[in-house]
Amino acid sequence: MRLQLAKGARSLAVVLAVVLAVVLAIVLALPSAATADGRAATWLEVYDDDDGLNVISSQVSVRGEALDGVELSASHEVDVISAATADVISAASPRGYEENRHGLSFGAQWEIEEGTILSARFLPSWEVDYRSQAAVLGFSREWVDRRLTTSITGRLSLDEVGRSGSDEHAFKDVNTVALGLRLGWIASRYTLLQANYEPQRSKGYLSDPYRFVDILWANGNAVSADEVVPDKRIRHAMAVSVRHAFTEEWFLAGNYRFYFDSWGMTSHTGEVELQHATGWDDIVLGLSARAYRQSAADFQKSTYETMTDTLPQYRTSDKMLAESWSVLGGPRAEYSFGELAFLKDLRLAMKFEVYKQRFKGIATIKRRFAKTAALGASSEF
Amino acid sequence: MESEPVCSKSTYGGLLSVIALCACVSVFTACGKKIKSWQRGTLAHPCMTEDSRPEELFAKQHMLGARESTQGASGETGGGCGCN
Repeated sequence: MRLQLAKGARSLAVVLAVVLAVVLAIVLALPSAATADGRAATWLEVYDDDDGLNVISSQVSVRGEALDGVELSASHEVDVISAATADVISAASPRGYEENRHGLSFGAQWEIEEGTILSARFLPSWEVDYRSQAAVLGFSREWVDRRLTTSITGRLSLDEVGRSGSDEHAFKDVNTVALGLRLGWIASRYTLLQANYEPQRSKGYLSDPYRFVDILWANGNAVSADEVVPDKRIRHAMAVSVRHAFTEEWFLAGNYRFYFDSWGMTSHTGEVELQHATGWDDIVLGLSARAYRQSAADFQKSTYETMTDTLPQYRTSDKMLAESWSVLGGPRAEYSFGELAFLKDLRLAMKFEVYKQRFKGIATIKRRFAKTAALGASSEF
Repeated sequence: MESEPVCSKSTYGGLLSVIALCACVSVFTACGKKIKSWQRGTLAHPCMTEDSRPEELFAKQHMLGARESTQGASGETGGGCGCN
């Protein structure tokens, strides 16, 4: 079954590559292409941590103006995941696992009139134990001499989660509805402000089918039970950000995000990025740092004990639901090769980041240290 | 004979409300300064544009979304987990 899925994924990857090529060809072949604004990009990122997880992610994307005021876009991303993390080894497979995840995106946006944009995207993705189909609709409009931008987006995601190799009928549904509200404001000729609010509601099977939890009985015996978390989660996330140009060469971006949900979790995220550009943007050097802290879910415990013969209603050993904090940061560099043949602006970017995460109340892992390295190329045409 | 107060308490309250409203509006419209299109040069710089590197943003949010449980209000992450 797994082999068949892997073969299926390979065939689909080929089909998708062809679809992307066809989309690109159509975009370029359209009569308006000679004057159209288009962009093609690729991004390759490698993640490696000391918990035995290695992920290689690649993305290819293309967008272009198909008709006057109508822009089409498509992208394909692949994650090649090999894992031997502590909880996976103990719960799912003694030697860890390897699998691929594929994701696609097809989008269109229409500038109805100057400053008013309607957009739609379809984002299917699949891996052996998780399938998702998401649709996003958006509307944005500029006001007050184009200084204020208001955006509203709606997202519906219909997902299915199961175990690798399990029967098709054993997959369970998770549905998510999200709303995104955004205000963008040009505060001065050097400063941009933005505020976001995103409520989100997920319903369905939100547990991890691989994860088991040790329960201690009153008599001292322990039993391993499957993870159970509430089947509904309502999230609220809000963020404010600022971008400021000190000069035409020095730029600073800052962001603060607050989150709370119906599982009793809260989090705070702060992020800053300093960038230096020379020759307008021929060379861009940057340095970013991010700090994050989350509280534990109400029902998350380091150990579950019961005095009766019934299991706790909710039980999890998921480190993502435990109290944790993390820091992420590193340098980034981007170089423009300028105009080459039909490419208007060929750019090469690279980034290196370290990620340190610390958990509280998790027996299998206390901390995690990861490195990510990324390389990307993009061009306008 | 007692003279009538020039302004009653409710009038003062109304005036203060109007002043507060004007202050809010002027702050919200960047202190009344109009930014001409030719003055937006710096604002058009790629370093001032969040959308200038969507692939990076997606990769970052996707990586963090698989490691931290509190997503939202920071860009689309796509479906699936790629986690464990």
